Amino acid sequence: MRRFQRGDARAFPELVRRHRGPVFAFVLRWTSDRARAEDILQETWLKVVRGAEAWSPRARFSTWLYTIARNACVDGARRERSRASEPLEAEPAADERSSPERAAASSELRPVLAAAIAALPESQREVFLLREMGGVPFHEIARITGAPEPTVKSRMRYALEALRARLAEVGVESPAGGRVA
Amino acid sequence: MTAPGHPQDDRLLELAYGELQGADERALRQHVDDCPRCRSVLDGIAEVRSAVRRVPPEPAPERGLESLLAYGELAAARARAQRRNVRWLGLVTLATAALLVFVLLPQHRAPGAASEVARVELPAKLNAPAPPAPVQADRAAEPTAAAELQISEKPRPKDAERKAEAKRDEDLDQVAVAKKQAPHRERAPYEAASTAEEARRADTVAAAPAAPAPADAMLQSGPRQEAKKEVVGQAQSASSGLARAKAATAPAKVATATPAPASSAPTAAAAGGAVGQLEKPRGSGTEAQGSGVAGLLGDGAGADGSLGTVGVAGSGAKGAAGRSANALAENASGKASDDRAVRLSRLAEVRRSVVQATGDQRKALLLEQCRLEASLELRASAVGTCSQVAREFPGTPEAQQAVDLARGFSVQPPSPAP
Repeated sequence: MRRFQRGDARAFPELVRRHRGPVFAFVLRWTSDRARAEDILQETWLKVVRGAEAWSPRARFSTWLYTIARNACVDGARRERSRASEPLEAEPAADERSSPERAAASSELRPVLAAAIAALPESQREVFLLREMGGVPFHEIARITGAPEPTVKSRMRYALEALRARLAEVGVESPAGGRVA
Repeated sequence: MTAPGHPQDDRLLELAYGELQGADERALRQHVDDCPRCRSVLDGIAEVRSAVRRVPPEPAPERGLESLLAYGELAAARARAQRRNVRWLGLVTLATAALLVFVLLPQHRAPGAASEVARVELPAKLNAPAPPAPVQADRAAEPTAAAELQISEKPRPKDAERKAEAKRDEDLDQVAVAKKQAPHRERAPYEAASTAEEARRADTVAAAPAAPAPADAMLQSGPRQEAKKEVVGQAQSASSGLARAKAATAPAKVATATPAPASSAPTAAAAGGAVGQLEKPRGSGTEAQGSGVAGLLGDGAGADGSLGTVGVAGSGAKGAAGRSANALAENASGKASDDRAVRLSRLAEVRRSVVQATGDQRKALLLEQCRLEASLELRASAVGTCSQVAREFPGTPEAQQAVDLARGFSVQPPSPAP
């Protein structure tokens, strides 16, 4: 990022190559809507370009990037709520009758997981996604969200418990081979 | 929730996410090995993490990537240019400082050198080996005064200029007095002049025979710009003498030198040329337009390096008000959501088709995509697509339309932070 700030044209594609995928995964999980996620992704990177001069090396680039992405998601969700014409969850809810075998397949697991994440309260969802998808440490999530670190960890624990319960409900197997429950 | 003797669950969370290190990590792992309750908590976390990892992340879309990279390249080029400018500015500052030192140092040295001479000569004159300190100080002061005299003499040629300026000033004062004496209806156009046309008209009126003879003579002999500047000086309510003197000597600087109020900016621009345009207030007029992406791209917390959240929320507020009004209107009509669905569906279709399309067909499809995204308020995508049209088909009417559409979102090329 410092190279980009100095005007190195090769630095930006490198940043994009390294971070665009994970940021998209983060945004997609947040919004559960591919079109919106693509838009927010682009918006995030435009902000990165425009705000590059203001970036300070005191903050890790990834933290700054996820801050922008997270804020764009929050703004997007607010816009959607005000529009209130489309449901927030674009992904279909998980099929309650799914067998563990079917759910075990990643293609089946994807919508289940997406729906479970989308069902989390926003405060828990953002913490979970920032930590799990963005790899942002808890103390930095606290800075991003403006919540105290213990609160962030509590939200994370609630999110994990809720997801675990939801996955167990639909019969997703644990890594050890047994069912979660 | 934490049983006595067990570590806090937060610590287990840190352990699960690799945020514990060294002795802390080892100690906690030892505890977990021997504690079924803590192991169960850790296993629960691991299960969720494993499920997340089993779903491969969806690849980021290619759409918009090209335009984003182009945008980044442009920003990098601007940053380079800015750095070069800063370097030049530094060099110029250094050179100016060096020049000042060269110019001023001999003048400062002169009194010092003279005082040295005085100190050397004084004992000889007084025929005393060591004169008392106060005398030495007095003597030292004399050459300083002499040196100051010399300094004050140096710029004498400028005095002639100043006199000439003062003369011009006097003339202009006469013009001003003449104008004050002239009927009020003739002054009104000067004060209200807000366009180039009006300034020109003011110029004509100033040269009109209604003014008394001295003013006429002056206006006919002197350059018309001077009279025009004088008018600008009045319009800007600047202190009359200084403003006129500046107008007479450096007409173009009037617009920049005087802190023009927003309302008088156009006048300054009209009379002072391009420099006046720089004076245009950024705030009032431009803020109102395009609340959408202006807030979106220029917001505080999101893009300024600080990690707060208020800025983005605040930035969206202005636009959100408008958007929510739009949303209400849409809901009220009932048809809007259907229309949106139709447009979304068409957008998906166009996005699919544009990948294969070439030539004019691609141009038309890209423009349609740009329009659809704009109408659906998919701002970032719209900006990306519109930029793509402009880049792929430069100089075409479609490119112009795309650029206009992008401008509708107030998206400006990256500019240096103030």
